[in-house]
Amino acid sequence: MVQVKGKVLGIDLGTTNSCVAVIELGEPKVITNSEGKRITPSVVGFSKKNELLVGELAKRQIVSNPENSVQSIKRYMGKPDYRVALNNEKYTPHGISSMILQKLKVDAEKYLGDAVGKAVITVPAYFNDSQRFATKKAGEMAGLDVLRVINEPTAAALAYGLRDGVQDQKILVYDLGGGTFDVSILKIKNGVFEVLATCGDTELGGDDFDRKIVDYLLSGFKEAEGIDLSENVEAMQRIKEAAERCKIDLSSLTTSNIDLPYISENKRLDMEISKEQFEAMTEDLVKKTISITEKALKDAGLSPQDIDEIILVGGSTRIPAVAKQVEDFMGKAPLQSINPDEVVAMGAAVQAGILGNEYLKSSGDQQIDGGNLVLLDVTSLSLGFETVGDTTAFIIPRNTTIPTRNSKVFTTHYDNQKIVRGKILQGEEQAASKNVALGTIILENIPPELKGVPRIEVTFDIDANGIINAIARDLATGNIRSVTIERPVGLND
Amino acid sequence: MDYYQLLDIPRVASPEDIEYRYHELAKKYHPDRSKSPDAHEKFIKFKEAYETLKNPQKKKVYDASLPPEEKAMEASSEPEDSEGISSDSEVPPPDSSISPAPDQPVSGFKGAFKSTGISYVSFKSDLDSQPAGPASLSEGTGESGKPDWSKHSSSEQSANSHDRSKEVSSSAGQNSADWSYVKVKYEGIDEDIDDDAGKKSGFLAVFTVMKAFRYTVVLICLFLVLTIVSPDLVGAEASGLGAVTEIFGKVVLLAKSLV
Repeated sequence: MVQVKGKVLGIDLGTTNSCVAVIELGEPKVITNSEGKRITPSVVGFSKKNELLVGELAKRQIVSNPENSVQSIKRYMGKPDYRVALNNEKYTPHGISSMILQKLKVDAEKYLGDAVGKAVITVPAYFNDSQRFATKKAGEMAGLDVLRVINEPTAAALAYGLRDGVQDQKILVYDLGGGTFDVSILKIKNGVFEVLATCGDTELGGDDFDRKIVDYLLSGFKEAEGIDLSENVEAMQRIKEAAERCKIDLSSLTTSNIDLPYISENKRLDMEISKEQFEAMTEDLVKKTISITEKALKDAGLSPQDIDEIILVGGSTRIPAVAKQVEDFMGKAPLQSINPDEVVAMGAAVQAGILGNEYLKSSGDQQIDGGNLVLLDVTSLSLGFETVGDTTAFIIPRNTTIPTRNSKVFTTHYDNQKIVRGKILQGEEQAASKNVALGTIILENIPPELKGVPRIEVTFDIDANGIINAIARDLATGNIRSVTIERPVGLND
Repeated sequence: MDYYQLLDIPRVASPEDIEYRYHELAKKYHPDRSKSPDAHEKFIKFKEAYETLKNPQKKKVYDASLPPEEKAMEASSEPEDSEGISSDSEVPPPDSSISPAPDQPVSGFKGAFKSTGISYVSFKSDLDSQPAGPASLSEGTGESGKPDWSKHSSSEQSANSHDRSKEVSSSAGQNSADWSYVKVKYEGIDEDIDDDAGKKSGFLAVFTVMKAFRYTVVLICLFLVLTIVSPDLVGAEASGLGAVTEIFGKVVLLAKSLV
């Protein structure tokens, strides 16, 4: 257990919006930012006078100053070579994220009237090791001690579980955010939140729904005026914003009008999109989420009828077609009683409370302290070792409860082989090269033997933080090679 | 230590019991909850045990691989005793007690007690019919126990069983001396069974009815006393009290005679 003094923030670092919560009097409370809002846009920019802008202010100047603004940076987290040019400097994705976290931290300190140094930060369940590492790094760069990086759908389940009581039930969390999609299935029993299965797509979210509208508008304008706007940065920014607004409108209206005067010189973009049109455009996206949901159920060994409660998380679940498709597939109306933009941050605050053994209040008379709850999360991606012929030997399958450990015995593949070398892989592909390489294990000084004789045991160990350790051991000589995953250089900047 | 010992649950634990126990341990030993530096190790072990036992197929395979159970803790805590029993009584397990692996004697001993119910009965009858016949005894018990044990003994062990039986007959003289000890042990184990039998017997049933009757009479007396005393409390007369004691005495006598 981590020794926790002072408040620990629960931070949902989202693709489009971020949110912060903290435990107050046993309940998670969302912190309002310095603009008085409960959510902060995940946008960073520099004003024309070279001032750093984060959140609402940065979002406001995107249209007028697009080349000095960054949004949806979460989509690039953990990519070691990706750099953003801002204000004549190059920034890493986690460097940008740390600016967002810094603002959230400062605002929280203002709200609480006290210094804050610790946080639990959420990530999509389907984030791989590098993406998680980059998120943790961003927190550290913002001056936060990141006690735990937890999965977003799991966090949402904690928030609902605490509010509705921790009795025996199985829940499915459908989390469609701005840029990522996750499904997690949990069993809550005896105060234990046990994740049974998780599945997702890190490149599927509300942005993709916007993109569909943008494409429709672009092709419509091209047809009418013969002008391609896709290269016009400023026009594109205006269209993107209009598309997002149109999507939001269509959650409550049957048609939405898009009117953008002077979009290209003196030309005007004036189009109408109906709800039916929008639903037809985005049908494939929704279907994709349903098939991922199906896969998660299969991994958990359950059918839709086994699920007691369905929870919708993420702003994109406000799209009526999404909620309806989920309801049709699951055969049950989903719950959305906690604001889907805030529930993840609230859950992160609950986990912070559990780590700090804080007093937590549940439904009705059920008063519990953090000591009566524990979250058993899983590793969402399989972990394997590269072997001959570009194949992956899986050692820890996905959906294994962490902390965990497992090993497999390997051998040499030619006579007198002295060195065994292989990559540590994360992913579900049989072909090693298609999975993400986390590092390399090299075991030397193997005594000369015929091929197939030496026995080399490779052990992977994942701790509660999701940190992976790998050990290779020559069972004959007892030689040990322990490898803590080395991060690509790009992530250490 | 097998998974059941690790989780501290009996082998007959239901899936719900196993899950509940795992949840308790998770709340105590998950690294989120425990300060101890070995929490990580401990939790991984509990989880491994739980993951095997929660899956009916894995559990079946695992259970089959286990040496027969019961009183395993006693056996390991009193190694000399276990040796004494196995070599003297010549219950089936002795085959294994000479196997090279140091753990084997213990598991062999467990084997003896696994078949408590059955082998106990056969034991007793052997004893009754042939009070001091160690040779025949070893034969008889060997037979009764063998089918059970053969499932669990490895090939090395069965190979050794021949030498063992020779040794048995050579040490036959010692056998009778230690019988009492063996019997005591078995009786301890069979306590539950005896209890069950007792409850069913007619004699005990009558005894229980008598007991119940006695309690009812005493309760009636108390009730009578109270009804007489309460009006006296209002009147506060000594003669009333005298009457009460008199009646009380009579009632007690009546009760005594009844019982």
